[in-house]
Amino acid sequence: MIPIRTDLAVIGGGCAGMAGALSAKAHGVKDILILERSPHLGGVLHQCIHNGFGVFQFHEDLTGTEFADRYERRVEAENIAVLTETLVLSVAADHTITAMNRGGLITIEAKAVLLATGCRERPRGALLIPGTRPTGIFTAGTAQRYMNLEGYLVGRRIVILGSGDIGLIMARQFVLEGAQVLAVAEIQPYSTGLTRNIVQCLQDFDIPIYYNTTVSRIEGAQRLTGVTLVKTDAHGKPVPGSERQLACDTLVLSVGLIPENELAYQAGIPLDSATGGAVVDDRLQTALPGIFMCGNSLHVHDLADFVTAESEEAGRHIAACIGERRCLPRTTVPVSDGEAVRGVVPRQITVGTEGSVCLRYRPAGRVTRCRTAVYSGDTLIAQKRHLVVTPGEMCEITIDRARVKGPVRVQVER
Amino acid sequence: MEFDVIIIGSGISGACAAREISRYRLRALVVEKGYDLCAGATRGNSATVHSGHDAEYGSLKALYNVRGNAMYDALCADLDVPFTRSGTVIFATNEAEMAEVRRLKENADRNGVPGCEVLTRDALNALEDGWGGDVVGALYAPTGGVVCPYTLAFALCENAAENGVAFRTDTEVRGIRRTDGGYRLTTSRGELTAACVFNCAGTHADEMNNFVSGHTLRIIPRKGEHILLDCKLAPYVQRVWSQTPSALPGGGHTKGMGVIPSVDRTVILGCDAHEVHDKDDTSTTAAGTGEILRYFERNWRHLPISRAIPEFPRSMVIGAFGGLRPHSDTDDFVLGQPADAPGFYNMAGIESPGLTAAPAIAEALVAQAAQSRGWVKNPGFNPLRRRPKPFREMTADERREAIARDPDYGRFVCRCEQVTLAEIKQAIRSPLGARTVNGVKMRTRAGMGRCQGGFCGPDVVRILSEELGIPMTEVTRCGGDSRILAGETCVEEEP
Amino acid sequence: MTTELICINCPLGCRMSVTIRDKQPPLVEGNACGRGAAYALQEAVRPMRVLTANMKAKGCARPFSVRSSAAVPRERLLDCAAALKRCHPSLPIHIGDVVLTDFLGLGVDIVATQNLDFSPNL
Repeated sequence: MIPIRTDLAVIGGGCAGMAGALSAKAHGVKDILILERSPHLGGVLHQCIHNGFGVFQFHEDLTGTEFADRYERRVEAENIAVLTETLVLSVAADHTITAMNRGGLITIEAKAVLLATGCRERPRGALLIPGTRPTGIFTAGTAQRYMNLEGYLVGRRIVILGSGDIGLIMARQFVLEGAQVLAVAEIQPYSTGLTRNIVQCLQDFDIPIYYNTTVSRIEGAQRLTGVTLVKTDAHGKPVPGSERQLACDTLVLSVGLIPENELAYQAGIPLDSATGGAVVDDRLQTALPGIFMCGNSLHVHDLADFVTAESEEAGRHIAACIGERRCLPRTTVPVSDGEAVRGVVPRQITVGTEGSVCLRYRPAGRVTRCRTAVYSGDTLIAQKRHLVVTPGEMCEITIDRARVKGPVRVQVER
Repeated sequence: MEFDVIIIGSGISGACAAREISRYRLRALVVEKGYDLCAGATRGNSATVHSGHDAEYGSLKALYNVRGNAMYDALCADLDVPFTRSGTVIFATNEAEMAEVRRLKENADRNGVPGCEVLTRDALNALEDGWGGDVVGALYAPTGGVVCPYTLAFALCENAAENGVAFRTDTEVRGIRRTDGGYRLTTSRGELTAACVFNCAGTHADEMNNFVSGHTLRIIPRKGEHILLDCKLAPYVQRVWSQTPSALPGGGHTKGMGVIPSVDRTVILGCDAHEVHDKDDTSTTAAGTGEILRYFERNWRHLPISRAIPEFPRSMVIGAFGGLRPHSDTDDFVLGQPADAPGFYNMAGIESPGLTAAPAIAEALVAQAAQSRGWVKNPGFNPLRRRPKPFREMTADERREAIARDPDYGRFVCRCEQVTLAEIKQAIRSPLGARTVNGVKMRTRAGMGRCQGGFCGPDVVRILSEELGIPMTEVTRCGGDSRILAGETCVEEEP
Repeated sequence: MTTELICINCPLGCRMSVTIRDKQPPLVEGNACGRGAAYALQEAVRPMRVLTANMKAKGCARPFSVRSSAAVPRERLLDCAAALKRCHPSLPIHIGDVVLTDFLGLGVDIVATQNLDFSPNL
């Protein structure tokens, strides 16, 4: 069977893949093929009917669907090739991709590969919430899909576990659809979603949020009939005696997103346990030359605007690498997580070059009146003041490559 | 009598019995109280085919364990069910446990278990590299294996159905009386009569027996919880591993806390054992799953997998489930006709090693019944059952050919477990096919992977809705009240 | 009288306060931009929200998403959502189509934010 040859193969047609493809094209890459497993481009944005997108990229307030549509129309206008309903089965170190669709098996040979495969939701099983296994338990994204793509309500008396954004967004949608949202339970002492969503999704509708609280038991033989809420201590462990029952027919889980990196794992690409994504250098290139990663599969973002900004960087670097004919190895210094910081991306910075690098990271906890400090060796090379940083909101800091002389450390200090 | 034989229950016992009975020309019916086949104990266990080294010598458990174990290769080949004779390692971490290993070896020999060996640590590492920690030696039982219990039960039922046995699900037996010529069963769907009855009712087998016999039975449900690990760990686990039983939490009630490389590549950890009161309570508990986690956090270092993965990988946990063992208070299987109930064949108390023993028990009991009742062989009996090869097991050429023949093989539904639309439709359309989300899940594995149905769930519901011709709001997880969806959106409320 | 609030205009989520003072303009503190100040003044007096929701077209089981062209009073959100359920426009629907004008007399339009021009199946 004749392989398809292309300059850049993009795996994943969500906004990360689309923005990366468009940026690569704008920087001179000629042949680009996007491979997408669902029937449409846009990824999960197709089911994000709420607004708040595009504030940074377009200076407009768009819904997720409108934001995706902007990229989809540009992909079409730029004549970027797209194969939908096509699932990639494997990616090899030599960039050979095996995929499949109704037409059969496909082999693609590409000069460069961009992995933009997004993320999945943490399910009940991964949390080991004890109890029965009735129907009525959904992750928030699945409930969102039922509501916004299929047109169905998953339940009428709903408890939400986790204050992640998707759960908060769905709380509002449930209420507007006529269901009751009884409570949001969050194991941390603070919200893990955007603060604005606490206001416009919970406070606006008088939905109580209980911090330091989790679900310790699920009841119901066939359909969920109730959950047990329990207070948790500073280590997230249940406080005995603080249990209370809440009758409900639906439990919606919004307890974290996990980068979806089966292809990278099978290709032997080293992954970073702090982020779940690949270890990448400041070109967003993985340890395998010519294979890049961006978006939620690299590290889970909060805002699509930052996903596309990161993907645009990837596209620019991919174009440079293809231009060089191959991605030459370079001397790099490592970037590590210092105090109160978790999951800095990228993990390597090239020395001896110019320009700036955007470091993205999450604080390990909620800290007020602090600064992010970036050290090269013992020298402070960048800093940024904050009123508050919280794990639910990814942070960025830009550093000057010329100032990087030794191992880099990012930390949050009082 | 309406039927020659009625079999109560479609778990591994009932399924084995049904297939044996289908060798004879009989009017036979299986009644199952669940909405789908195999709704009880067979669904939630450790998926292990035991060697028989630890069964009590002289018991029915020992006899049928060893005999059943030997039948598995041929049985699974006939039914096209994956079975791996992986071998079992029972490891010891000190001299007391090593003494137990030696006792188990003596017991194995007495039970007629072939091939068991006592290994020193070095010999164990020659067999399988990487054993460390405090391990001093082990019992190696090469006849131990793994099978998917409900896949086997479904296959047995399909073969029985093809050979003429009828099946009725959603039919609960609520009473049984002796009548002239046999038995009258009162069920949730009306009265049935049969010349003889096979009691394969799992945790409810005592109730069935006690309807007709003064020799009462008592089944005490013993719950065992299990934890599932991502199939990424499958390459590191080649054999079933377990520490000597007495070393384990829960002591004597359980066979052990094992690491089981299931045939589906998910790694199963478990299980503990606690008596429960409710015969249908398969819920997991914080204490139960906690016990499993704590055990493995402490003991991971002994296992070969710890060379590659030094710490117990909590992030690899994808789920947990509970299963009920139907433990008879006689501590053994209860088999055959009670003296006061001729024609009523008990297959009761089928706790571990029930999965292993069931084919042998069914063979013996059905042969006995056939002889005493003069049953005539079914000349058309076909022992072979073929399943369509799952996409995930196909080679590239087989995949190309499958997609060319049926483009639905080119459309993924569950990408975590690589299940295509073609297979899901087959699972629904075949005789004794799936009618629920769980039915699709158990026949195809869609929804059993790392995302636990988060992505494919809505697609499976839609496919069931289209195939069964019912609205999506009527699709259930497992029948009854377990509807997935509460209603349509954008519907005007009643004033 | 001082109201504390969090801005929802952009992800910064500035914590602001609005103090209504006698014979002086209200005092807004904590905002990082002009839009935030405007939001704070409005929120303290009469909170407004953009409505995003689904509708179903005639003869179509799948929904399509819509938004209000501008914010509506927060207290009207629930009856706006209920009113949308009673409307079933015809296919096709394209992003940007004005589906309903001057919705409920609130001076905003309801605009489609998804394309729906076929009866989709699996």
